[in-house]
Amino acid sequence: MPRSVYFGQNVKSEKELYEDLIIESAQVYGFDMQYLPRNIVSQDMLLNEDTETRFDNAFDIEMYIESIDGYEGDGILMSKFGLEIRQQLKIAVSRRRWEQGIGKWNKGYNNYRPSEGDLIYIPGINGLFEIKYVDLESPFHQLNNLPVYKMTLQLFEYRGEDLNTGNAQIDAVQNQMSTPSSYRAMFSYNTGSSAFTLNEYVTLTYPSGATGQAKITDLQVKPTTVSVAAYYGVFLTSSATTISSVNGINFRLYNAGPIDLPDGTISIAACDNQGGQNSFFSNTKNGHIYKQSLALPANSSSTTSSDYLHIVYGGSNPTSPTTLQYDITITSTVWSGPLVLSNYVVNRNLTTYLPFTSSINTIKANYLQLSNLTFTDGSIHPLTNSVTITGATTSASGRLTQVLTLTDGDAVLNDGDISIQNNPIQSRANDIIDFTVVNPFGDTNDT
Amino acid sequence: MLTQTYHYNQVIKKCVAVFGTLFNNITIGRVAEDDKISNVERVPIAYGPKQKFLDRITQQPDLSTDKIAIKVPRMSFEITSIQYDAEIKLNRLNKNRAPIAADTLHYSTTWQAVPYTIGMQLNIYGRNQDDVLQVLEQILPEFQPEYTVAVKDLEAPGINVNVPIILNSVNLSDDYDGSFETRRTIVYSLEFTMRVRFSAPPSTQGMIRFTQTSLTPSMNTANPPIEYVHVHVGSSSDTALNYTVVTSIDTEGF
Repeated sequence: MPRSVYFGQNVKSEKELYEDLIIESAQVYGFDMQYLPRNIVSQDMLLNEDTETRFDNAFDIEMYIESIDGYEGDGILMSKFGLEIRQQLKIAVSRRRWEQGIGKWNKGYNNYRPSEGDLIYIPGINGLFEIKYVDLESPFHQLNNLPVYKMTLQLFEYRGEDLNTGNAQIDAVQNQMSTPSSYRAMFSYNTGSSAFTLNEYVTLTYPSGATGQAKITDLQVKPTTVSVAAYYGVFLTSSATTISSVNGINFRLYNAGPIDLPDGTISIAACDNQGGQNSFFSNTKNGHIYKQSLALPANSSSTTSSDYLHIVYGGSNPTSPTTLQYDITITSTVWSGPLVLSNYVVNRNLTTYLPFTSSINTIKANYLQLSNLTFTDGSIHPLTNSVTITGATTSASGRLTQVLTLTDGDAVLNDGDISIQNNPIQSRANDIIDFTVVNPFGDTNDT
Repeated sequence: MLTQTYHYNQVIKKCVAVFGTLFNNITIGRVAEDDKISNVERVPIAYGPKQKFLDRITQQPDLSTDKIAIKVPRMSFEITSIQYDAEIKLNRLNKNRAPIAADTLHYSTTWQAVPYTIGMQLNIYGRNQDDVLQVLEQILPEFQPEYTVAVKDLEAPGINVNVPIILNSVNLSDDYDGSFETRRTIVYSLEFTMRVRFSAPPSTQGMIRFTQTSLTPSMNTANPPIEYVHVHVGSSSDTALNYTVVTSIDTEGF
C-alpha cells in the first residue's frame, strides 16, 4: 500500500524551517569551534597511512555538543606510556552551515562533508579533537532530508603534525606538545640582522652544504652560564726592558665553556688598575684604551691577528713595579650582562703570552627550539654548531652557537614531566656506564 | 636476620638506567617517497611504572591547558621478571678480595655473587606503522642477539662488570580493525634479558702477614720441631698490592 498523498514529506519550506531551527538551536546552545581540515602532504601507499600532514586552516563554526553529561570514552587512564586521555564527544553541526562556512561553498577548502581525520578545536574546553566518525543519517530521513552531520570526536593523538593555522591558540598546541621531541640550541644573530619571530620557518644551512627547513616553536633570551677561560695577552714588542716600547697588548678571547660566545661587537666598559699603577691604563684622553670595540670572530677559536682585542696604552712610562693587575669588564651588543675578566696580570718583562684567570659569567643568550625539521636529500642531518639559520618571513639570519644535547643539559627532555625521561636516564647512566670501553662486546679492559 | 649489615648496591636501579640509556636518543622522521624526510624528531622514553599522582600533576599541572590524548610515538620500558640464573652459577665459596684504602692490615672480601636474569620489556607506541618501524629497525641490528655494556660498581664498589643484554623476542599488536570509534594503537614489545649478579655486603678480613712452618724429623708429633721457616712481609707499611717478603729459617719458634 503506497503512502498517503495527503501528508507530503517533500515540502521545501518545512525542510528549511526544520534546518533553521537546528541552526538556531546550535547558535543558542552550541559552542564556537574551529574546524581544521587535514592537509595530507604525502601518503604511504604501501602501508596505507599518511606520512606528512599539515593543518593550515581553522574555520570558525558553531556546533552543538550532544554529550551533555560530559565526556564519553575511557576517560583518563594510566598506561605503560604515561597519562592517556581517552575522552570522546559527540557533536552535531548543521549541514547547511557547514557547507556555507567550511565545505562546499568555501573557496579556500572544498569538500562535501566533514572528514574523518580532520580536527576540531573547542576553545571553551581547551581540547583538540579528531573526528573519528561522521554520521549523516541521524535523524534518519524524517522530512526526506538529512540536515545534520553528527560526529564522534576523540582527543587527538598528536604525532608532530604542523599546526600553522594562524590561530595563536591552536598553533600553541604544537609548540607545547612538540617540545619533548624537538631540538634546542643557543644562537646568535648575524650583525645587522632583524629578529626571528615565533612560528617562523627557517632555512638551515650546514657547514657541509646540506640544507633543511625547520619551524621555530620557542624563542627566548635565556640567562646562560658561560665559563670564560684561557685568555692571553701579549706585548707587541721584542723589547722586554723598556715598557715605553710596548705599543699595545693583545687579548685573545675565546670560550672554553659550554657555549660559544655569540658573534657581535664588544666594548670595554671598565679597565681598572688594581695593582697601584693607575697611570698605566686609564680611560682618559690620549687613547689609553685605544680600541674600544671589535667584532668577535665567527669562530672564536680563530688565531688570526684580527681576532685579537687590541689595547694600546699611552702616557708616561711606569718605572715600577713589574707586575700590574687588572679587571676588565666587557659588554656586548648581542648579549646582556658583563663578562668580567679577572686578575689579568701584566708583567712588563714578558714578551710571551700571559695567562688570565678563568672566570664564570652569566650572560643572556638567544635560545630557540626547532621543530618539524625537514630535509629533501633523503638524510637526516643532526643539528650542529655553526649551522646558519635564515628566516623565511623576516629574513633574519644567525648561527647556532650550541646545540643542546642529552649530555649537556637538554633538560627540556624531562622538564619535570616524568613521562619523558630521556635526560634523567642519561644523567643517571653517565655515572655508572664505563665509557672507557671502546668495544662494547669486549672485555672491560679492552680499550 | 640474614645479615647484620645494611647494604643496598642499587643493582636493579642501575640496570634500569643502563637499559633505558640504550634507547634514549632515537630519532625518526616522516619519510616520503620523494626522499623528503619531514618532522624529524626524537622519540621520548620513560620508565613505565610510576606513581599515578606524580604522573597526573606533572603532565597536567594546569587543568585549563590545552588537551590532547597523548604525544606519539613514544617508548616505555619496565622490569618484567627477576629469576635465578643457574646457567652461570659459580662456586659459592669463591671470594672476591679488594684492598681497603688506608688500611694495610685488612682487605675487603665478598662471597661469590649470585647470578640472576632480569627480564626487561621495551614498548614502542605509535599511531603509524612507519614511525614504529623506524624505531624498531634502529634497535634490532644492535642486538646479535646480545649487546654488552660495561657497568661500573654494579656488583660491588670498584668492580666493573660486563652486562649482556639479550633480545629474546619481538611481539606486535596493531588493533586496526573494529569500529571507527575505537582508537588504533600500534605497540611493539621487545623482550630482553639482562644478566647480573647480586653480592652480599663486603666483610673485612685481616691479611696474613706472618707464617711459621714447623719442621719435625719424623711423623711422630711427640718429637719437637727442629727448625722453623718464617715468612713475613718486609715492612709494617706493606700493602696487599705493594709488599716485600722476608724468609728466614731458625730453630726458635714463636
